[in-house]
Amino acid sequence: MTGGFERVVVVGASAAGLSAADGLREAGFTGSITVLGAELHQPYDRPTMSKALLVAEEDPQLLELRSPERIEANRLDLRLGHAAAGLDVDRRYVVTTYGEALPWDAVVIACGSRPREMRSLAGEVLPALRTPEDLRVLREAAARYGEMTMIGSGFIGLEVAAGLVARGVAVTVLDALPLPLEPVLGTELATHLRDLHTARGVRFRSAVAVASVTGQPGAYEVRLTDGSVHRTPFVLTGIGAEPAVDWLAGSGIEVTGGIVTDAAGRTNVPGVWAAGDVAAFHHPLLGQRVRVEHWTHAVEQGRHIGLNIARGETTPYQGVPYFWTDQYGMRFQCYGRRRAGDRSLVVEGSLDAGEFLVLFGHAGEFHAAFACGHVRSLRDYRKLLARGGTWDEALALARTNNPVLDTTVSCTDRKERTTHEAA
Amino acid sequence: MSDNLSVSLDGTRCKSYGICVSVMPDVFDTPPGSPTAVLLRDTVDADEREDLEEAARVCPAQAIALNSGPRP
Ligand SMILES: Cc1cc2nc3c(=O)[nH]c(=O)nc-3n(C[C@H](O)[C@H](O)[C@H](O)COP(=O)(O)OP(=O)(O)OC[C@H]3O[C@@H](n4cnc5c(N)ncnc54)[C@H](O)[C@@H]3O)c2cc1C
Ligand code: SF4
Repeated sequence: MTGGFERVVVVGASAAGLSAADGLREAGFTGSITVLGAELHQPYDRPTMSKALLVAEEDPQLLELRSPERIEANRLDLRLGHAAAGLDVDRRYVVTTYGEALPWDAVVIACGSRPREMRSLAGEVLPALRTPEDLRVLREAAARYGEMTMIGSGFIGLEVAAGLVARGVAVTVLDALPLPLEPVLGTELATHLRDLHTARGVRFRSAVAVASVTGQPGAYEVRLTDGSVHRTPFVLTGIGAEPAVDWLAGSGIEVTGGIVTDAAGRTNVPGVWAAGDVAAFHHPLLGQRVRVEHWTHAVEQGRHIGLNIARGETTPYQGVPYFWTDQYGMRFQCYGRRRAGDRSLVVEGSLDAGEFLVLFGHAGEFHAAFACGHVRSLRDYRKLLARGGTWDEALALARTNNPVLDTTVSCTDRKERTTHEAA
Repeated sequence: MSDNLSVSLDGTRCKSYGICVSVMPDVFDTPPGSPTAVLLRDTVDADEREDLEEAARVCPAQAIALNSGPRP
């Protein structure tokens, strides 16, 4: 690296930020690393909150992301409760909410995202789940009211619904989509997931949007666009997340649906990089600019950027996006990303059996593998996705794993047929 | 010194997320009913090092450790 490169400031003390710091040290960076964390908690694992911690009988214990020994061994100057308030790109300072002006030779912006807000007519921000404080509110409400309404049926929404059901809470899920997660999963899998929830008592009000919400904890009225009114003691929103970029206003950093970076992680300002939920970058495998809001992505891209900075390199990041979600004791895992219009094919197990591996692709391209169980096969599909393998290659792999596979009928075709028959 | 790497799994940290299994199904497993992942073997070859390092990094519970050289 060029001379005088000694001070790195990392904004955000979570998956992406800490991994960036790890990457810097791994590649031999010996200068100072200051990590700013807006929250007062020791860095903790976020995904556990909507899973084990939501359901836990006892007081939930956050799962720490790094041991104190590891933070010390990496010589991180971890400043909890210090948020970045501004970035001066000319004089190269990060200004904090404590009034510090931290000089930098490089900055890694890893401040993540926050829930997209929905407000009641009185202007109150409706609860969502992102932080341990949110979790406490949610758990208390679950115990107090025993009945809840989830607005939004994304992965977090469905996970929370499943967790609440396990706590004996009666859950209603509202969504403008006809089926939860349909754009991500396609019709058949989305139907399967919805049925898993309804079988356990979750009520869905689908294909109808929320027009307004009035009331307060204990008594809410949710007005829907079909004119009906849904009454519930508690609402929780899970309608997506937005990059936490307010503090960068006027800094000169380009923000369009996230902090815009190149595939290497560089923003438009030299020395400033971004990783994790907050970054919007051109993903070589997805062929478009995306924010990848998944845990392992934050870890791997964060580290990658740390390595790049320390080595003075601009290697593109091209990790295959991966996420998992736990619902009713089942774990769903997905490598890659389904695209609109993809065909889907069950290549192992079956939806009816509750264990399956589904491939997604279109026009000879292989886009994603989604599984419940059959996890051992995922590894090969992941490798295939990583090297941009074709649909035929994916099918060849599928036939090796499952010689009796009938590849002439896709599950989407089957679904359409049954729908038509039913109609 | 051998090129083998030994793997260890901290059962008190592991929350059975199973991410490690999808990275290295030959090394990690999450048997039904088991509260933690288990190791199918506790050494890996040198050419599996990258995968193992990845598994250790992405484990949300930071429950996986690898050590160079022969096991103690
Ligand atoms: C309830 C829940 C469940 C999830 N479950 C899964 C799952 O099962 N699988 C999966 O793949 N993904 C899951 N995710 C998504 C995953 O948690 C995120 O993709 C991941 O945490 C992103 O990491 P990050 O470091 O980019 O951002 P974050 O984890 O959001 O961390 C950013 C940190 O920066 C801090 N910060 C913000 N602004 C500032 C500032 N100005 N100065 C200093 N610090 C700042 C924040 O306080 C925060 O701690 C889940 C998310 C939630 C909320
Ligand atoms: S990824 Fe970590 S927490 Fe999950 S099963 Fe593997 S070792 Fe356990």
